[in-house]
Amino acid sequence: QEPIDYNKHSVNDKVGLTQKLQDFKLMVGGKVPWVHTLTVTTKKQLECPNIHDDFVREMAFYKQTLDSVMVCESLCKDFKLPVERKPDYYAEMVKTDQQMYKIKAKLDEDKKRIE
Amino acid sequence: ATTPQVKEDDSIFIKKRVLVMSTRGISPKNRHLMGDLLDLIPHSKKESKLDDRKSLSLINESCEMKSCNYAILFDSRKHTDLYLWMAKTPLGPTIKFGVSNVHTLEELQMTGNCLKGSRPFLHFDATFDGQPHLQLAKELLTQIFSTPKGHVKSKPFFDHVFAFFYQDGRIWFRNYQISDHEFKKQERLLTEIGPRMILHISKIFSGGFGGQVLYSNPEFVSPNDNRMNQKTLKANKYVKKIQ
Repeated sequence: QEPIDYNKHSVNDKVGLTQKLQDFKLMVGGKVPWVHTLTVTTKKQLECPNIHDDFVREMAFYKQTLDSVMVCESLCKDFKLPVERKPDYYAEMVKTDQQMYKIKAKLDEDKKRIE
Repeated sequence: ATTPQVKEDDSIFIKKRVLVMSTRGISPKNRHLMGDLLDLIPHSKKESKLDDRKSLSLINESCEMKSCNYAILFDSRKHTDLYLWMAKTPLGPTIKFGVSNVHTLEELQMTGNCLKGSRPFLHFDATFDGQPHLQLAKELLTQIFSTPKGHVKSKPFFDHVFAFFYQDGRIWFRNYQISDHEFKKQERLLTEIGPRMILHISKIFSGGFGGQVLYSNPEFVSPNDNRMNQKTLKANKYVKKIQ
C-alpha cells in the first residue's frame, strides 16, 4: 500500500493570494490606522528552540507578547487612549466570579499540596 | 470639507459584524470554545446550527440577512475533529483551519480574567509578514478579532492581548491579561486567560465559503487520514515481523 501523496494536491497561487489580499485589506487612504486594528507585528523571529517543550515555548510566547504590549501602550499614549481602567469602573468580566473562585480554590489546593 | 470624507472611510473599520455558527454534532468542548469566542468578540452574533454541510455557500445569505460581513463556522466531523472556517462574506477570502489542542475558559489552570468586551491588542510574530498565504491569514484574523473602535459593547480600556504565533507550520493562539499597574507597580505582567488553540491552515478559498482554491497546504493531513496512516503503520509493523 502506497502512502498518500499530499503534494499532489498542493496549491500555492501566490499571485492570486496577493491580489486577494489587496482586494479585501481594510485601509484608509492606503494606510491602516492603528486605532482601528490595535495590531502589532514584531520584527523579531520567535526564539523557541523546541516548540514541543511546553515551558520553553510558553516563555518565548510570553516574552514576545510582553514586548508588543509595551509597544501598544506607548502607541495608546500617542493616540491619547486611556489604557488602564479607573478603580471605580466595574463591569461584567469574561469569566464569572464563580469561575474565578473555583480557580482560586484550585490554586490554594495546589499550594497546600506542595507544602 | 475633508472631514466627512474621512468619516465615511473609517466606517469600513466600524461596520464589522461576525456571524458565529456550528454544524450539528459539535462536541461539548468545542461548543465551549465557540461560547468563549462569542464572549471575546463583542461584535459577534450567534446563528443556529447549520443543517446541511453540503451547501456552505448558504452561509453567505444568512450573513446578509443578519447584516454580518464575516463568518466563523465550527465544522465538526465525526463528533471529534474540528475544522474552523473563517470568512469574509460574501466576496471572500475563506480560510479553512484544522483545529487541535483546544483549551477553553472553563478549565482552571489559566488564572487571568478580563473585561467582557474590552478591545484586545493583537500581536503577530514576524513570520506573518513573509509568505502571501500568511499575510492573508494575518489580515483576516486581524479583521475578525479586532473590535471596532467605539463599539457599543466595547469598553474604553485595554486589559488583554490576543497573540498569534506561527510555529511548526501552525498558528498558535494565546490570550493574555495585562495586569494593572496597581497590582505590581514597577513592571507589566501578563496572565493567561485562555482559550488556547492551534490552527493549521488547510485551504484558502477566494470566495466566501467557495470559489477558487488559492492555497492548499501539502503538510496538512486531515485527522481522518492521520488515523488511517497510524493504523496502516501498525499493521505494516506486523507484516514486516512475519517476513
